[in-house]
Amino acid sequence: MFLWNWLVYLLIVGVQQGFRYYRQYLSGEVRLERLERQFAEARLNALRMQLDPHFLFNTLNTISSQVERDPRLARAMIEHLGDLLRNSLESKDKQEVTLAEELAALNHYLAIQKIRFADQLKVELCVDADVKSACVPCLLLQPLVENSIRHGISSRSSGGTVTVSARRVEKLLEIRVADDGAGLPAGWNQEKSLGIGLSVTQQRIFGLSGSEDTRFLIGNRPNGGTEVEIRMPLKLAGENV
Amino acid sequence: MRVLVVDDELPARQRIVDLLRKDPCVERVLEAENGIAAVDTIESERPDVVFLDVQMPELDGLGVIDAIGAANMPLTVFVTAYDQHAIRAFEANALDYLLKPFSDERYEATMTRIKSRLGTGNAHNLDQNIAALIPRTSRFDRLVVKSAGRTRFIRATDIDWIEASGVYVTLHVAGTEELYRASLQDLAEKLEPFGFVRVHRSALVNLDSILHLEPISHGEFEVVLKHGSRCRISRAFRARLEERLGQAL
Repeated sequence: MFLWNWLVYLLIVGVQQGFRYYRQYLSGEVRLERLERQFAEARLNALRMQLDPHFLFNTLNTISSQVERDPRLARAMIEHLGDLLRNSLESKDKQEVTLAEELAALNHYLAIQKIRFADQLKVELCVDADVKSACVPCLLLQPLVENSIRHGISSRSSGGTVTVSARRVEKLLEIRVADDGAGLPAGWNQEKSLGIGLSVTQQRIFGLSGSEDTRFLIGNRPNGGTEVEIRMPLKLAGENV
Repeated sequence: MRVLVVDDELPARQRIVDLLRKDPCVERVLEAENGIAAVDTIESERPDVVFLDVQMPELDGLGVIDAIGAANMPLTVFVTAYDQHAIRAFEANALDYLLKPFSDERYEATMTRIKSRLGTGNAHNLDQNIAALIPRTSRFDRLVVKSAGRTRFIRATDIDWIEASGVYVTLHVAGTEELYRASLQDLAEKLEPFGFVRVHRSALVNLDSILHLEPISHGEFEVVLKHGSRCRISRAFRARLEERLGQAL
């Protein structure tokens, strides 16, 4: 009788455990699937931004204006535009890149915008050497910088400065993208007012590098302008976690 | 022929300027890098033709027309990279426009049309069509004010009250005064959506700037406004204010 009771007990525990593993397996699947979906959305967004009709047609118009005036510059812009498109078409199979690779992609975009906006757009890059090989979700920076230019700078005729900085803070990677533009509109709220591009970025940061220290904060800077602050666990390429 | 090119992006201006410079009919090419500079240049230089970018920060192309008045605009060629709404409006109103990027041929065709319009002297027969682009009240959140040789933007919400003075009105903005050429009646209509209400035949008040009311006599009140101004509410307009506030005084 005693043995029988034990057998029944073990059977129940066994079924329960099995069910738990199955659920864990399912939720792991779901998590992976969600990450893949968010990545697809981020790619789509990056592509949409490069193919943003204003960006694309104004870039083509800039090239058109320089064809005679400065043929070298015109060819350089065509190359930047080509690299930018290639980058978002090719990033299909990797979710994470090093910060250095991400910055290289960003440079093509910035090079075009700097020619378009001439001296109205200033860009400051300040990335510490020890985080250049940090892993970040690919296509992370461009939507943030695009946002800074669109809301912070191209809405003012006096222009402005976009600052991108990255550094190590203990075991974390901290990235900031800031502008000195008009700042957030009154009543702006990160939970409610986040546009689709940035909310996908936010979800991907938490999805790929979620930990209790992970942050994605958008706020006004004390001296005017907007700043996005990202913190995530620092993971250097080639390191096993 | 004198031509003004308005665009906030330098290369976009260069594209048109380079084409204009090759044209012997063009005596002078002017440039403006934003809407405010465009308004200034149109008023001071009176060009014959303006190439006007639609999308610009702060004061956009339509804002320029609104500030100048459709009837006072030079012959206008709209230039835009992408704005389907605007393009439909240009088509519907038979206005000249260029889509960026454009070929030299496209530019030449536009220029030929412009020259024939200038030549026949009916340059301004499109005023009504241009005016049709501008919705009547939507663009009045800022007034473009010219004083002492410079052009300023005054946000409607920054104005405490407006006083009629001849063909002008006086804008009372944070304790300073600015002259603005418009009738009080016109402004009253345009600024109503921004919380302005007529309290007197010659006074229009921003409700947000009212500190308190002081009764004077016979059902008349005086409004005490921010920055120390006062103005009278006449009996005739009291009902309007009460209606606007949804309650009796």
